[in-house]
Amino acid sequence: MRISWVTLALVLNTTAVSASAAEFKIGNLTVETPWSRATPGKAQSGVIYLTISNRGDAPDKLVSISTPVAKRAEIHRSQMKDGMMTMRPFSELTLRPGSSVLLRPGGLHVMLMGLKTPLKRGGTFDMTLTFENAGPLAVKVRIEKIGARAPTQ
Amino acid sequence: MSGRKVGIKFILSVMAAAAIIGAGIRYIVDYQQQTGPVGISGPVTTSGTARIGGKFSMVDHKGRQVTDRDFHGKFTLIFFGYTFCPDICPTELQTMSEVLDTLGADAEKIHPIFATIDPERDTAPVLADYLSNFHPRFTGLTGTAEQVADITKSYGVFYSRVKSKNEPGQDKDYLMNHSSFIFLMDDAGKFRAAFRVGIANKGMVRRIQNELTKS
Repeated sequence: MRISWVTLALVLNTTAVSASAAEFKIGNLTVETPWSRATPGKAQSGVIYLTISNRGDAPDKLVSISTPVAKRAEIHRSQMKDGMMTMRPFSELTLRPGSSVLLRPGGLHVMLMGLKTPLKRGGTFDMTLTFENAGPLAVKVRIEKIGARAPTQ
Repeated sequence: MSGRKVGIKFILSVMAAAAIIGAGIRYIVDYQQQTGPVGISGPVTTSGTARIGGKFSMVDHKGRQVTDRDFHGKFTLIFFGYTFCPDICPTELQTMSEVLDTLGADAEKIHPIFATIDPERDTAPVLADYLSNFHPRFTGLTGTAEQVADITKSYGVFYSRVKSKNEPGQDKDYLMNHSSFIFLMDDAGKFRAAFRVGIANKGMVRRIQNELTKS
């Protein structure tokens, strides 16, 4: 009886964890909680944030991103320098072994350009991340409110 | 709009702005680095080094011609950005919206303004559409390239279009670099404070409350 309670607790715990954060895995790479922001009706651009962890022994690279909701998806970094806000595209993102790369507001992000449809709060859309070694990984992106600083889930 | 012509004019206006206001802004940046995320306080205004703000003539998000005088009588909280920016600008407008909510009744004493540095894409209807997602009292400001050059010059805001390697047909997807401050001006249009991007709401609310009681 006692053992089954422990087992049940473990099962519940695991369920709770997987429900609280969306996780997508390929090889040694884990992509956590991809989220986006709602866009106004006429918006031409959008944004995606997520965390990528490399739990392997070898480096990998995020080399391309595609999504049906936009013509192009690029990795950009917002940077504040001497009071100037600049945005710079990255052609690829290096994922060092044993480390995580955080894409979050005010820094690294996926920039969507040529948005084909407005992104509605509460909805989701598909995105494919292609890694140099691990290959392509399909993820679901959740849409939060327009100025959200963090995902609600 | 002829791109080259605007480009040259733009470079000239940036150089002029740099010459006139550069010292003031440098002071702000230095001051901020010393004091952390508290915004700019008294020393800037009393030292006379920062002449931020002044007359402007723009078009609001409803397509009406407006000048700085239309905003006198209330404080203004003004941020310069562009709607194509999906990362920093929505975060800042969200911060401003939350600050207004936190201010409660005091928010009525403030005009929140989002002024574009990208008038080519940010027309009045685009601004109206964009701002409908934030605090209902936001006014959007756009105008001709010259009008935008003028208002940014008076606020010491620099901006430039990032050279793009886009293929033909994608030239609408350009990025902008721009100074990122939220300015607090008083009911007579005089500079009171500048907050840098990323500042916590709390600090901004406290500072605004202080400035309102001084008036």
